[in-house]
Amino acid sequence: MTILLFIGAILLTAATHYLSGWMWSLCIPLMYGIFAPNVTERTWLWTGGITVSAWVALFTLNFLIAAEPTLRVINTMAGLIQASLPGFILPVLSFVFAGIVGALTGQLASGVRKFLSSFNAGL
Amino acid sequence: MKQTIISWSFFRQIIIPAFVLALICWASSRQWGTLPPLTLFLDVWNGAYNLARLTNEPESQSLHFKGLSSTVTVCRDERGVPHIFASNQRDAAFALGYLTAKDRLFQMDFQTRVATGRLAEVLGERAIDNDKYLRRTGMYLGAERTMAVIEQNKPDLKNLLEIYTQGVNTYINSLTDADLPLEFRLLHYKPEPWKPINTLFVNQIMALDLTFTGQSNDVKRAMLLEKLGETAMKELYPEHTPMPEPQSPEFQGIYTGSPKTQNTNITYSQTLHNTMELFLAHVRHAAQVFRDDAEGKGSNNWVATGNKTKSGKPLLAGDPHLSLSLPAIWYEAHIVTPETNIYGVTIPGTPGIIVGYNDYIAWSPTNTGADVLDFYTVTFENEHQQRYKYKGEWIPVHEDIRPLRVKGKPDLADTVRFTRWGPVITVQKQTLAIRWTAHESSTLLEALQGFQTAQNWKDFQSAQRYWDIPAQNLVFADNSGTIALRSCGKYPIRKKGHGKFIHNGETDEGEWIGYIPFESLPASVNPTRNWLESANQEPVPANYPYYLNYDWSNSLRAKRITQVLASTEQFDGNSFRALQTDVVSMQFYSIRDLLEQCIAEANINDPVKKAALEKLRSWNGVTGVESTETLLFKIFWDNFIPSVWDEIPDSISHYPQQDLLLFLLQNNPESIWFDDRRTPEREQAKDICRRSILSAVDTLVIKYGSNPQNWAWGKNHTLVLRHLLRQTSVKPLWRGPFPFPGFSSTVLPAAGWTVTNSASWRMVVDFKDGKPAGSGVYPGGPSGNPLSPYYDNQVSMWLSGNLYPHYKPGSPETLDKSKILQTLILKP
Repeated sequence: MTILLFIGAILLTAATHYLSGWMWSLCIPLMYGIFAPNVTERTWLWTGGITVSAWVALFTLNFLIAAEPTLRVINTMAGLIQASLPGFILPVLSFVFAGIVGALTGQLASGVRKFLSSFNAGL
Repeated sequence: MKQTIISWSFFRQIIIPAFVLALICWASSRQWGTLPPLTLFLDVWNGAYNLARLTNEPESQSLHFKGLSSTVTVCRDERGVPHIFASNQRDAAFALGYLTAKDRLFQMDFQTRVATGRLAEVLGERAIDNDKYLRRTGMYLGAERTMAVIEQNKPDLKNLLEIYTQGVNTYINSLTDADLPLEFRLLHYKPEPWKPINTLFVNQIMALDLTFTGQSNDVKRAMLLEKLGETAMKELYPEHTPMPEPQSPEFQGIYTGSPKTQNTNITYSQTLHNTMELFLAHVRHAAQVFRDDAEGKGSNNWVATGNKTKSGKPLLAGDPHLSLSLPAIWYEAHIVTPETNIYGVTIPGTPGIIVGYNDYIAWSPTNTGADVLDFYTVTFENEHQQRYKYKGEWIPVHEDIRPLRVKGKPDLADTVRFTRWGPVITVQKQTLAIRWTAHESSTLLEALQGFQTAQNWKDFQSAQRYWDIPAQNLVFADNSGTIALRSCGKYPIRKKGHGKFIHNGETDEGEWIGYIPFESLPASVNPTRNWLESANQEPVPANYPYYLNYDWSNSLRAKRITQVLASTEQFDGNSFRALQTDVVSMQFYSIRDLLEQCIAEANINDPVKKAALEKLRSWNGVTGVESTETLLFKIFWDNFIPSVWDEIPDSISHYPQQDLLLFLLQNNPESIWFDDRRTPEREQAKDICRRSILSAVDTLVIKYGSNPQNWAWGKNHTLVLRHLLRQTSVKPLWRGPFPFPGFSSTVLPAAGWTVTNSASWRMVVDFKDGKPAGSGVYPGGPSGNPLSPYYDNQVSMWLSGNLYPHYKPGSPETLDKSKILQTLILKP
C-alpha cells in the first residue's frame, strides 16, 4: 500500500507537471507529505524522491518521443550555460533542482502536518 | 506560553519553507538582467525540452484555419523543404506565411526590429545606439511610404500582404509560452502579431545589406580628398576600372543622359572632418550588431545558350553572396497553383520566391553595387536643429518623434529630423543628411509577383520594370532558348556631379533630378558569344553616359568566370556547379610574374623558407584547404597592400580598388604609388613585392612553425556560421569553424581569415528536358529551431560544394511518397 501510494504520487506529480507546469505539480508531494499515513518523519526525503522521480520520468518520456533532438537540447543548453560544460550536467542540474524544491515542499508539508496535529490536539 | 511556541513553530515550520519555496519558484521563472529564466534550462518538460518534442511532428496532420478559401496540401520532403499545393495564389500565400512563421518566426521578428530600430525593446540598453542609428538610415520611412501607396492604389497587393499576414498570425496565435522558439525564450519576450508592413521592412533589410553598408565610402573619400588632393584622388579612385570586364558586351541601350561631371572641388571644415570620423566609427559599431562589412559580399550569376551546353538547351547558375547566418537568410520553398509551379528561395516575411524558376523561366540576381545613397552637409541655424540652411534660406526640419522602448527601463523619446535630403545623422552634435533610394516608395513586390508567373523574356522584362530597390543584375533563361542579363533598379541622376563625396547641402547641386531610364540600363539578350555573366564588376564600358558608381568589386571573379565560359568546353549542370566553387586565385596570377622574379632574386639560406618560396613559385593558384602556398600568399598579400597604399591612413581604411593595383603592377610597376614614403629611396613595385614576400616567409615560419603540415590553408582559414543574434554568448547556436577553401576574389567567395560572408544560396537550373530543372543548396536548413535536425541539415552538402536536385512535382497526386516525410492538410 505504501509503495503503491508513493508510485501513485510520482505518476500524479508527473501528470500535473505535464498538464499544468512544474510549480503546480508540487501540490502533489505537498498533499502526500501532509496526508500520507506512512510519512511520519523525514518528509522532505519522501517528497524530494517523488519530485525527482517524476522529473526523471518526464525526461525519459522526452527521450522516447524525440531522442536526437533531446540530445541536442542537452548539449546546446549546457553550452549556453558554459561553453565547456558537458551535456549530461544539464539533466543532473534539473534533478538536483527537482530534489531541492521537492525537499522544501516536504519541509512545508511536515510543518503543516504538525500544525494540523497540534491544532486537532488542542481541539 | 503555549501560544508563543505555536507561533514560533508555525513560523519556522510553515512560513519559512513556504517563503523559500515561493522565492525559488519566482526567481527561477523570471529573467535576471540578460540571463534567461532558469526554468528554460531546468524544467524537463516545458523548458527547452519542449522544443525538442516539437521537432517530432506527426507524419500526417489536418488543420482547419479561418482565412483559407480552399484546401491546401503541404508536403515536406526529406530535407524538410515545404511543397505547397493550393488552388489559388491567395491560399498559397496564406500557407507560405504559416509555414515560414512555423519555421522562422524569430528571424522574421528580429529583422522587423532591425528595420524599425526596435532592438533595445528586447536586447536592452546595449542596443539603444544601434536603434538610433538604424532609425536614422530612414529604412522605416520607405516601407511606410510604400505601404501608404499599396493601401490606397493597389488592392491586389494589399490583399496578398493581408492574407500572408493572416497565415503568419494564425501560427503565432497557436503558440503557447512553452512553444515559443528558443530565442524568444532566451530573450524572454513574445512575438508581436505580424503586420502587412513587416514584409516591406524585411525588404528594406536587404536594401540595407546590399546598398547601404559600403556607402560610407563617400565619407571616406571625402576625407581622403582633403588629405591627398584632387589630382591624386582622380588617379587613385578613377571613374572606371582600368581592367574592365563589362557584363553586357553588346549593350544596345538608348542613351538619353546628360554628360557626367565630377565635383571634386570641395573643401571640408575641420568640424565636418570630425563628423566624418565619428560617422565612420558609428557605422563600424552598428555593423557589428546585424550585418558585417561588405568584404565577401557580392554575387555571381551566369547563363549560357544551348550553343554552349551539352544538351543544346540553356543553363543558368547563380549564387548570391551575403552575410551568412543561422537560421539561413533564405527559405527554400516550392509553390504550385493553377497559375504557376515555382521553386526557389524567399526571405522569411516575403510572400513569393525571390530567386528561382518556374515551368518556363529561371532567374538569379547579383548586386549591381550602384551608388544609390548620397551624403549632404547640413548647416543648422543653432544647436536646437530646428531649421537648416538651403539656398540661402532657413528651412524648418520635419521632426519624427517616436518612443524608443528599452527593456527594463523607462521609454525614451527619439526624434529623427528630416531635411529635404532625408534623415539627419547626428554624432556628437555633428550632422550629415542622407538621401537613399530606399527612402522612397518601392514597387519591388510587383516585380516579384510578375516573376512568379512570367513565361518568357517579355513577361519577365515587364516585371523587371518594377524592380527598384535594391538595384540588381538579373540573369534570365527560358524554355524558348532566350538568355538575358539586365541591371534593374533605381539609379539616381544628380543635378551636378556624382555621389562620390559629400554634397554641399546648402545648395541644390546634389539634388536628384531623376533616374536612369529603364531602357538605358545595361542589358544584353542572346549575345553572339552565347553566354553572359555578372560578378559585381563595373557593368558598363567606359563610354556609358550615366554615372553608376565608383565602388565596384574588382573584376577578378568576372575574369575567372569569363575565362572558363569563353573556353571551348560544352557545359552541363555539373560543370556549372564546379565553377560556383572554383577556387583558382586570379589575384595570384595577376602578380605571379613579379612574385617569381622577387623569389628568384631573394637570397635565402634557410632550407624551410627556401622550400616554401619555391613551392609558391611553382604554385597553380588553387586555394584548396590542403594548399600550403595559399597561407604564404595571404600573408604576403596582407603585407603588400598596406605597403603599397601607405598614403592611405589606417583610420580611413579605404584602399583604391584592387583593379587599379593590378593594373599598375602590370602596366606601370615604376609608378610613384609604389614608393615607400618612409625611406629616402625611390621604390618600385618589385621592391615592395620583395620586402613583402621576405617578411611573409619570416612570419610564416615564426607564427605557424617549420612543419609545412601546419601551413595547410584549411587549418588557418575557416568558415563560421553565426547565429542571427551574433552574440558569443549563444555560440552553441553557431556552427563551425569549418576548414574552408578559397580566397578573397575567387569565384567561391572566401575573404578574410574567418569567412562569414559567402554564397548564401547556390542554384543551377538546366533546361535540358524542355522544362527547367534545378538543384541548389544553402548553408543552413529550413528550420530556425537550433534544436531541430533541420536547422543545419544542408551545411555539410554546402561545404562539399554539391547541390541537391530539386523535387518539383506538379500536383499532390504525382507525389513520390518515398520522398515525403510529412503531409499537412490545411482546410478552410
